[in-house]
Amino acid sequence: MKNPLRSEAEAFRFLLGAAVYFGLIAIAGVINHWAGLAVFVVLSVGVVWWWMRARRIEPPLQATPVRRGAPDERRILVIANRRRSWSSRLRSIRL
Amino acid sequence: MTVQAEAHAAHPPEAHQSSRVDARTLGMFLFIASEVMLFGSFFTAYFFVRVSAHTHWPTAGHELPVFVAGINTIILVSSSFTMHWALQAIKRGNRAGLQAGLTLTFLLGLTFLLTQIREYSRLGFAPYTDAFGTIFYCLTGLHGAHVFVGLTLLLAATIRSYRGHYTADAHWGVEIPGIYWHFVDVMWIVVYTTVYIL
Repeated sequence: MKNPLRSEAEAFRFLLGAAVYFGLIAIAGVINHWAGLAVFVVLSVGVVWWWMRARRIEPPLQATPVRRGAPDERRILVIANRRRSWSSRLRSIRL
Repeated sequence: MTVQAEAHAAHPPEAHQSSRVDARTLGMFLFIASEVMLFGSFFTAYFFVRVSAHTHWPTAGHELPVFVAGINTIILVSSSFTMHWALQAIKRGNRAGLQAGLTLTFLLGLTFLLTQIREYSRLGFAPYTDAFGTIFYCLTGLHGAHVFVGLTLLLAATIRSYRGHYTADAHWGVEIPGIYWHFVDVMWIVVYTTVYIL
């Protein structure tokens, strides 16, 4: 599902889409009230179907934290998913 | 003073945000969402009055200026094109295009508003005449108030553009009023279609 008002350019495209949508309904409605209703239903179903399927393709946000240590500082990530003694954990770490 | 405090002496650190959407755009989007609900309540009243009237619509004695309102619609939709043009121009670093686009948008919006006010004086019915008059003036008046707010935003953006405030990389002051202006135009298309045409 896309937010149609996320930027000015998208809002402008939304305006053009709304103009076409209501324009077609108005033309059909002037010709015949039931035709207007039919166009309204068909267009509304189409728009909702398209809107529910629309996805925004964009890269994930960069979430890297700011480095606070010295440039040559080395760090070790220890994932301790089992209860072990400190000495046992130290032996498991290989630099 | 700590190292971190010195680093942020000129300005505060950038705020954390959990949304992908910029905070300013998100604020305008939430505002527009509340506006949609406001217009929705007015349209609900309009359709209630229309359905419960059980007569030909608009009721006898109410002739709406469909042609003039149609020309006004074209003017307002055109102003969205000039607004889009203005923003595309500043994104390319074209300041003259931005200024021309914003000025034209403002003038077209002002033309729309003045035409609507002139039409009010020639309609032949007032808000207190009957239910149709009340809901007609409420809906079009609500939209007119939004056009006025949009014109105020556009005037500020236009003046700032002539003072050289926007660049290709920094143009939020045009982007946000642009979103609002397109929303106002969409609402007019809805109002014109339902009240004047159908």
